[in-house]
Amino acid sequence: MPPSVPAPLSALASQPVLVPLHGIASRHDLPLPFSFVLVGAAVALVVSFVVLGVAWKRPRFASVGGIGLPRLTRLVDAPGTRVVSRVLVLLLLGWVALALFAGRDLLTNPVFGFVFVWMWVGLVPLSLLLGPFWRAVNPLRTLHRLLCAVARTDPREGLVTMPAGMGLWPGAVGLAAFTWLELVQPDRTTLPVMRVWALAWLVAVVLGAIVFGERWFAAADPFEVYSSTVARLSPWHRSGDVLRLVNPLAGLTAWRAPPGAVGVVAVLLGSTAFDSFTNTSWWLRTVQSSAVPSVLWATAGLVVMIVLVLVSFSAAAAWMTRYGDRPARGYARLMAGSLVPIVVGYAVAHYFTLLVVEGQRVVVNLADPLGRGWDVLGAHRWAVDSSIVDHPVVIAVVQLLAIVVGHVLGVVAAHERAVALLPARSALPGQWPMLVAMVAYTCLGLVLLFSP
Amino acid sequence: MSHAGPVRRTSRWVAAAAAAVATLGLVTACGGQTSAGTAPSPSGVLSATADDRPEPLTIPITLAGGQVQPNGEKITASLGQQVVLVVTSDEADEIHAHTGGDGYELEVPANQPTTGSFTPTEPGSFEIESHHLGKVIVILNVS
Repeated sequence: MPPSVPAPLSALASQPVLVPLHGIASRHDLPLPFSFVLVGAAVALVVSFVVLGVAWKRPRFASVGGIGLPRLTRLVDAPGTRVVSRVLVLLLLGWVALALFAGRDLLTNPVFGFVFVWMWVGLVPLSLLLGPFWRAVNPLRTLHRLLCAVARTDPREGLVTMPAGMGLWPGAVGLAAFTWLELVQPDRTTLPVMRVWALAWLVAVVLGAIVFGERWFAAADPFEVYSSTVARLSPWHRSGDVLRLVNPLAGLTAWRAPPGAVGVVAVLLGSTAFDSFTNTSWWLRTVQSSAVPSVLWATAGLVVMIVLVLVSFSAAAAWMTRYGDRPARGYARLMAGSLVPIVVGYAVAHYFTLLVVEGQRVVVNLADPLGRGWDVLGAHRWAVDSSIVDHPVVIAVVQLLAIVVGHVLGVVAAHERAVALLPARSALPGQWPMLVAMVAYTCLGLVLLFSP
Repeated sequence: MSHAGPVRRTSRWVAAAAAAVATLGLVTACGGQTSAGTAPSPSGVLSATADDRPEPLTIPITLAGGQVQPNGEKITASLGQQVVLVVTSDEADEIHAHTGGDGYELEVPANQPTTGSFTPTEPGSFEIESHHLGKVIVILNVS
């Protein structure tokens, strides 16, 4: 029998690239070497026991401290700066919307990379560097303000007041919906699907703002909630009306988390863990040989991972009620901030190569949003520099450091909160289930990166 | 321990931190050299011969009744090692290998054993999948 002639697509310049089966990138990082997993787990355990046995008994970050920066505050709060940044981001989103609604349904349409790489992954380093910047430039807020200007209403007021206990729960639900889109939605890299989701996001968030007022954005827009949560770990803190440059841990500890914060961190951690889990042989074998459709398997898996994190963290926090004077439910919310460094560590470990490589590709694709051969600013001729993938050891070290440093910061933040919330004698016995939970999350992260 | 003075407590901190950093550095350095060897064990035919090129890695693939064999298995390959796919399918299908760049595609007619090969040029973890069944056949770890 004559062998079939293989057809490397690089020879057919006009053909689109192969549509990846899962997600937007065709390549994943190599599994973490097992020695790295052991080192990471060992360091996590050592640090946790050091904190438990030796660490401070009174809060170190009782006041936020830091350096006040009045001139920077004036620059950042200047109406000119605000208007220019809002307009620039609105124009960028408008450009992407053009690609979404008038572009061609190919993988080279920039909307897929923009949403799944720039917004979902890029939001993390940007929020760490700039603080809760998305709140200042959110294009949906801009749209809402424009609508209110036309209707001559006050954007801060809506039809009804937002119920007090809502907190960040709508945002947690929105984030869960986005992670379902990112990880489960079949055909997510096609325009019809993305159009529906984009419209749903627009309607849900802007309509909610019309009903509840501008505060709805901070409670319900998934990207704003994500950015603001990660920004708790940034060195920027607003105290009074002045921007202060502070120790990130001090800023994190000062966070009075609203209700629903546990839901937010549980969704973020659970979804990243599930993303990794879908690469294991066990998952592929089980889902692919089963008669149950893979959409159901994936939905169930995502929900289970999120609920596992939510329940384990809440239970570990509830233990503190034996030693403190608050109800059990209050502790999960108060301790939620200590998971933020672990969430950031997970995100960096899993997605940083995606950001570095596919992030560049988004720039190239943005130069031709309609697929008509445009070359705005000459960006379409740029070559994507993917040399980072030629250094798997460097990648592995960055992943290990991200998870371990995230764990260390998380444990320190948890201890700091515990000594602030509990009487001095009970700070140590009160927090050991929380430490066990954090060690478990870190070891889970490491094992998933090892990808059995 | 709770009665230890501040100086002793600080030196314990420093000692513990130093031990952790030293362990991390040591094993990372050793782990870096053996990272290729600690990847999951290969199940294809893989052996390095006396000359620099390793022998081609042959992966037999069977698609039957909507199921794929191997079913999501992880296989290791080396950079520059030719990967040979020998595919038998009961229905016409396309095998896609997302090996960086534009990827590789092999058309497979029904009930006709087909052979194709490619050489990965980038390290990383790639999926080899059946396009019509939408299932991952092999995850190729290239290092």
